[in-house]
Amino acid sequence: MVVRGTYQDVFLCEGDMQLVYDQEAGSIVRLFFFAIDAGDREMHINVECNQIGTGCKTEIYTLAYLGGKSKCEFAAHINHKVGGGESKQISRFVLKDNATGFYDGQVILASNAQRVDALQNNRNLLLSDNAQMRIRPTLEIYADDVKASHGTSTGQLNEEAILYMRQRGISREQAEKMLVEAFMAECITPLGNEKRQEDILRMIRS
Amino acid sequence: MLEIRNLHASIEGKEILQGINLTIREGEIHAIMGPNGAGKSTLGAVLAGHPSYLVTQGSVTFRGKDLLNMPPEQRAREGLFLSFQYPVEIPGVSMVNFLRTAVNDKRKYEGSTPLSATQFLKEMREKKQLLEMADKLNNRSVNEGFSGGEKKKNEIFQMAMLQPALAILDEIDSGLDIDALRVVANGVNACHTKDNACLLITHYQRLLDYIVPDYVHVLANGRIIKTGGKELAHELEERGYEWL
Repeated sequence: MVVRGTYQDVFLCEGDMQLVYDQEAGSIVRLFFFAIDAGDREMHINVECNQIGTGCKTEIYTLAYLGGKSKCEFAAHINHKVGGGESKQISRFVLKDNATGFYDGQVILASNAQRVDALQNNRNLLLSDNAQMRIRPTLEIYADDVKASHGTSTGQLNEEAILYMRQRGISREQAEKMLVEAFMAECITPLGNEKRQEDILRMIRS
Repeated sequence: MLEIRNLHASIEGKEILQGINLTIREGEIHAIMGPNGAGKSTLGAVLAGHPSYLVTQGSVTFRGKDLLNMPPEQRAREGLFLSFQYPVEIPGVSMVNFLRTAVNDKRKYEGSTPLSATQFLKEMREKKQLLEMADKLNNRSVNEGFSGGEKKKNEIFQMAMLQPALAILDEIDSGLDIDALRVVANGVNACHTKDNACLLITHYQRLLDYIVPDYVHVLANGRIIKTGGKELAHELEERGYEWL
């Protein structure tokens, strides 16, 4: 679809999705994806945002909270075809049991996409030995006057933090829950609307 | 309140505590001093239930209950507090959320009703003033980006909020300038009553000018080798540990 002005949407992922946004000058696209499943659902999501006009903003937030045998493959591609734009890709995968995640984040800055500010940040939390995460972060830069950064990390809960919390009287279970929710916050708080944030947390807790 | 009998504990097969005996009663302040590697911090960690240490012998009774059989959170809820030498940073967990959970979990364990949001915030405000901490503390992540001094103050602030029966304070003076030391010591003294007790672990006599102990113990090679009054700390400051 073609976007003029501001477009924001929240998606609860269930199966396969294919989305393309062509952004005209000065437009803003903010997309939130929540992939929450503890069964055996398979999700393949492809999102592409093309900044065709100058001065666009694109934000893609992806939160996957998966258990059981569920699987989520998520590809987020942002093409800065012209200059003066901004983009943000924030993704968090929390994987339990035998869940599998794949994140393919791509940002392309074309040769005339000068003065672009692009950020790609992916973090993953593995809560079981059998959970698997694969990532493919790509940043292709053909322009020279840009600011672009990307980072990724995959790990477990911080046992030192859990012990510290338990020493203050918080149960292990509660400590883990608080740490997981803190980990996911960067994909939930930008929703703004507190009721909506609560709804997402409720879905995750159940 | 606390009875430690012949406590032996090891880590990775190495025995650190080699028969500790110590009794702490309500209203008392004890200080444990001793050279590096004597086992001072190990004693605190073992009492708090750190999973890396293995108790191989002995017993610890805390307010009439067997402490060593309890998980760390139950020890805390029973009223045992350990300040960490290196407090852990917990990004994304706010101080207010962290402490409200801790305080109310303890209240629930004791069979009392949780504090209302208003009561809790009032309590936080009072204790922040006591420790001369900034107002914006509530929404900061636990210890994240705190300076060394702020982290130590934050430990005592949490102690003040949780009101433990026994506070084990592990080197709360390390890395503090003289002003911060005074604030931390004032906080500890303000919380001390005839019903609670405090075990200070320290290298330096300086702290004991501010928090005056009833007993000073010297720990060396995993054992308490000497016990005395507060004057023992001065003697150690002058003569070191070699003469013992």
